[in-house]
Amino acid sequence: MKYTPREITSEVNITPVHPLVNFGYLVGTVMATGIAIYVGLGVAATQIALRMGPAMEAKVGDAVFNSLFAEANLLEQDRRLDYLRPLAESLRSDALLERPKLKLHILDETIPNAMVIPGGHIFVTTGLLEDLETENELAFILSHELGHYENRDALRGLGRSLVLLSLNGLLGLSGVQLPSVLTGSLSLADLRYSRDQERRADIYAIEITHQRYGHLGHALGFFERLSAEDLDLEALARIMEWQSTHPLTQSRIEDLEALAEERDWALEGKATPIPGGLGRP
Amino acid sequence: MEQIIIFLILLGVGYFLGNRREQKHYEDIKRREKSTLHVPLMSWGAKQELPYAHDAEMFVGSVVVANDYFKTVSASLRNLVGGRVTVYETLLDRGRREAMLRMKESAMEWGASQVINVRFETSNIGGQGQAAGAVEIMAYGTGIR
Repeated sequence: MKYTPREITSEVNITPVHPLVNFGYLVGTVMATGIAIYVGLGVAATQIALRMGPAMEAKVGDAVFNSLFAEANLLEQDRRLDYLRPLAESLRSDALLERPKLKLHILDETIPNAMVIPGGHIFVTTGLLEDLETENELAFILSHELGHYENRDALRGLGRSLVLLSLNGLLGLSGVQLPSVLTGSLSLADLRYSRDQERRADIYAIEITHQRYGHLGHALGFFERLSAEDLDLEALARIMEWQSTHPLTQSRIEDLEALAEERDWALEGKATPIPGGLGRP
Repeated sequence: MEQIIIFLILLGVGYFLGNRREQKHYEDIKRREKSTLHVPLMSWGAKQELPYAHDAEMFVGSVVVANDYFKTVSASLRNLVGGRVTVYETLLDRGRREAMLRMKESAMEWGASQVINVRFETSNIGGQGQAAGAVEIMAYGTGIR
């Protein structure tokens, strides 16, 4: 056999593609898939938030409660709960009667605040209870949170983690638990609502407060005191803290007063005192 | 943010230096392949009769080629979608041809008229997790004269 040297001119072992083109294709594909999943989860989360049944909501609520407040300083044996519970129950609208039962918690925390998480868990801080002067203020704040609850804002606020949380709830029925990495780390910062959501919760609150007391006198007292407080450092810190989860602006109070006038609701009325005071347990 | 900048710097260094070296290397490989073309390399079957020879000696050519960061990132992205890892194709191709050339050149220096029973071995070095690794390619064969 005779050997004839021949130069190799074609590269069979190398795919003729520019490395940057290849890289661009890869980055593009992975990013497009990522964005599609992100958007898809967002859409799914909104749909789930709007359609979730009470049993499922209670389950998701418990999961959120356990992940957020397992370590928190909750006063579960506080006697003030005996007063707060029936008051909150009486502030429910008809729609809320179909939803999971309200569960009230007192958070041992000097900064005044109130919040609601899915499943009807409502939190008030001891700082808030100490600052309140009338039952009307308390009723307004509680029903503002109930407004968020009725509008499912807390569920929507969970965002994309809601999909995995509800998946976890479904799997939980069959005894399978998703790892906590997947269900996501939740934080109180997730309980932030849009201006529109706050407004709707406010409207719910004045409607319910008016229904209960027949007037809106003293209902906004807490907010008025907060915004009128001297702006020393401590007060500023408190206002900032409140604002981080609730918008507190003069215009919000004005909006509500304008709405009340439009509906011809009395802005003045007799204050209902808080029996026994809430400052001390 | 800093991490993103470091990542982009590594990616840029990997791409520009890696690509430049690769092109230089290919030019070198092609030139040497052309100049050593007249000596045949053969890969006989185990029980075939060997050509008559006065002398026979084994020659080994080995090369270690390092991966670059750009290739690592490209390949790890490729791992997500699957398919041809084209960035590694050139890396291994370069390694194989370089190892073969080293083996052939040392055989030619000795005076081989042909190199028979040519075989390849490949092993990877280092490269745990995301760290860029390297590959060792070894070619060996029997030179005869």
